Amino acid sequence: MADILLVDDDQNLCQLLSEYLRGQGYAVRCAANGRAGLRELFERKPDLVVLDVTMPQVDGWETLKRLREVSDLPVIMLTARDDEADVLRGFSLGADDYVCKPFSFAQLAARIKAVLARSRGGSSTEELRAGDLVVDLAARRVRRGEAVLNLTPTEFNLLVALMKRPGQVLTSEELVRAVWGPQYASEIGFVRRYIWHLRQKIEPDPEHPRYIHNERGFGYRFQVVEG
Amino acid sequence: MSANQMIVQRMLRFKWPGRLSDANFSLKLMQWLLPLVLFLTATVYEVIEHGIKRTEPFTLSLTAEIVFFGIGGPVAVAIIFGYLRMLVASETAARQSLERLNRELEVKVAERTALLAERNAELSRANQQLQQIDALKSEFVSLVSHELRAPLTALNGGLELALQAADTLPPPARRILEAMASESRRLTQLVQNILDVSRLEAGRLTLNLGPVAVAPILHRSVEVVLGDRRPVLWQMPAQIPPIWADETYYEQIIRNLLRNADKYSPAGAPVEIKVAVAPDGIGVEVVDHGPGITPEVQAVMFERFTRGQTGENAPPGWGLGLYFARKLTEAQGGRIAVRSPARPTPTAPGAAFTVTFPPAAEEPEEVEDG
Repeated sequence: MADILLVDDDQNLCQLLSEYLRGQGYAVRCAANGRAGLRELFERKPDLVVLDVTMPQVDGWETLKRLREVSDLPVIMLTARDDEADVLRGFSLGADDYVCKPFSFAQLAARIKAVLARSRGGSSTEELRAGDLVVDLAARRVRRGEAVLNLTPTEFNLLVALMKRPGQVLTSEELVRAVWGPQYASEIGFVRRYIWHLRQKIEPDPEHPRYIHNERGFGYRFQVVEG
Repeated sequence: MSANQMIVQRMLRFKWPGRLSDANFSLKLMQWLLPLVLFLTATVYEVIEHGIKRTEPFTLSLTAEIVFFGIGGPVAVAIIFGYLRMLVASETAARQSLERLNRELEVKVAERTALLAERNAELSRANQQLQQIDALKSEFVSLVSHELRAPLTALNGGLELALQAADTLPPPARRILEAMASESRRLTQLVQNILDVSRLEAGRLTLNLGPVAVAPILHRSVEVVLGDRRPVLWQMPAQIPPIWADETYYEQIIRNLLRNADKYSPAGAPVEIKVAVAPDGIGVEVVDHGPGITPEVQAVMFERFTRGQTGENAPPGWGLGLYFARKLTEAQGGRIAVRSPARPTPTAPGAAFTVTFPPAAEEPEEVEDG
């Protein structure tokens, strides 16, 4: 079973979270600050580190930097600062994922599962890949190469519905059912508009789509076309 | 400046030799020189004339003519010149006093301008200070919210953990924990709202805009906020084009309006939801059967920390909801408005809140590409 190291100066949170994660079948160790965390890391060699950003003495970023000098262990950052700049900084320092406080324990557990699956190189059920596009289903994030794409929840659902059946043609009805539910047949007439806006965000050249293709009279097909 | 004045100025600017450039001096010179020349000319002329004619009595006629032509004429000329000099002198005095007044006026204007500049500087200093205080306040609010989020995480997580085994808990303990979880969620939402407001004010709130389907959001919000507690009267066209908005914040605004309608309506009274599609925007109207809102409250209700009712009987709330709704709506290019009384019933006039968002841009004609 996976071994998780929890580095957070909030003792109550540490205690509650380790209890929850143990209930999920993980072995959990806690460290109260960055220095203790690094020490634990060398002694115990965990499978994954959950690292709080705001800590006295050595903070989360500094800990992450030092950790990355010696190891490529998966790291999930716990941040109370969900400003974009902080998140980007986290990625540039080599964080694998981040969760913003206040988060639900179930949400963090889902991220831990996804990051562990990814780091073990197994094909994660939490991730869809096609060409440059990477869709993280647990974190609901989409990247194209290095760029993070800002999709709305509807656009995300639309993309996932298409990507889950690559190469197949999905009708507007099927897309509406997958995104909003069968009772919203009134949206069928607007699927073209949603697709057009989605293309503006995900296609490198929306005029010559690489990912989402029209099958006139039938529907839409997701397929990566090279070149 | 008139043409005459310009000519006078040009003449004055012309350089006469020495004191002759002084108009007053040259007039004075003329006043005395011209009569003298006239007197001498007349005297010489008369002496010569009478010397040639040699008429009798020589002395009398000579004296009379010299007195008449040689003195009378020059004196008249001197008097005219004296009068002219007086006119010129008074004109000069008037001009000088005008110039002095002008100079004084200029000094005064300069003084006032300096004073005004000083006031402006003071005002901008005060403004800067206010901005600093406001920035500090936003910073403080953001800091506090961040600090609040850490214990909230532990609190929510602890309750989540405790409620995992809800079935094994004694019913009272379970009810208490569930109530605590609900309150904790409310507190979390409040902290999130305050943080969002401070970020919005600091211009750091990132909106994620895209096409949004209105009907599913309305149905979901009604389900979450009202549940089965209240009947809902729908008035909605069969097809609503997608709006251009941030989906999450749009839903938050709608939920907020529904929560208000619920809060201020008597038990069992329905909430009306009307959707109107116009070329410039899709409006969603939420109408309650509450006591209505006075014009005075309507004027301030979209500001921070103002509430429709205060006092012990007022429904719970922080007075942030509508302020946040307005700020968020405006940030997304939408508009929010209130209408009260919403209907002529005097017992429950109610209020109607309308949020209008622009439609998402239409796609161009489809081309075959696959």
